[in-house]
Amino acid sequence: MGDNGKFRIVDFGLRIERGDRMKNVAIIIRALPFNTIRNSEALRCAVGLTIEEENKIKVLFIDDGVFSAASLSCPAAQERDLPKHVETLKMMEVELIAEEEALVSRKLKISREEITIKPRQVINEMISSADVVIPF
Amino acid sequence: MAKIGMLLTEGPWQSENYKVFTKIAEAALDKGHSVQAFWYLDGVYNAVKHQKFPGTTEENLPVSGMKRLVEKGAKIIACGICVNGRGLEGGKEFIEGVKVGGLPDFADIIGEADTLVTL
Repeated sequence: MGDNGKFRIVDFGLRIERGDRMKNVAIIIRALPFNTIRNSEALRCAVGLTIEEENKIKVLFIDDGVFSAASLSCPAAQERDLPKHVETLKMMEVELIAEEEALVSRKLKISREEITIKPRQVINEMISSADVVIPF
Repeated sequence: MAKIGMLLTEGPWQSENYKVFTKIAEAALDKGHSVQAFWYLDGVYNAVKHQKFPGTTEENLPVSGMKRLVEKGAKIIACGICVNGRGLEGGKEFIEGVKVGGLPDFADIIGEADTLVTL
């Protein structure tokens, strides 16, 4: 347990956080969207979590996860309902944020207004200040 | 005593996350904490009761650890869409004590838990 009363173990893909009833939830999409349904299921999870109105949810696209944010118009993304989930999340006032440095290094552009672009440092602070971090 | 929430997204036959899950949950239960878990994606396969693997004894099967957790009081909910998507027919072959629910249950777990472990 850390000095501030928070559990924080980050190893082998394991994360432990501690918080109170109202939670800041950060859902992280960090891997390529190809050959997996995890990224679209991460968005479905975010949609499902909006049912608890007290939770403040952010979806963060970092590293290779930005391909999911940038490829919403491609047929594979449509098949997995990615655009529908993104529209629903925006309607539920969930913040969708893509990492600027990851986009630049991969020469990707975001064409959807639902997704905002922020620097890595800002996203790191969001993750640090979240009560619950759910990495996919 | 703390309320510990857990999310498991991987099945028992590709990674050892089920083992880490079992060890953390069992240690918490043994110390008197409560454990509520949500199984998502392939995590729902952890509840299938008819597991067999050559050279593995009954007590070392992944599902045996899950049974032990249920007996010790862990509350486990499997995502219904994931269950039916994988042909598990509403969890009819699941071990006793694992319920089939949905993401609203996970939202409740997050809301109530002092701690969330994601695996």
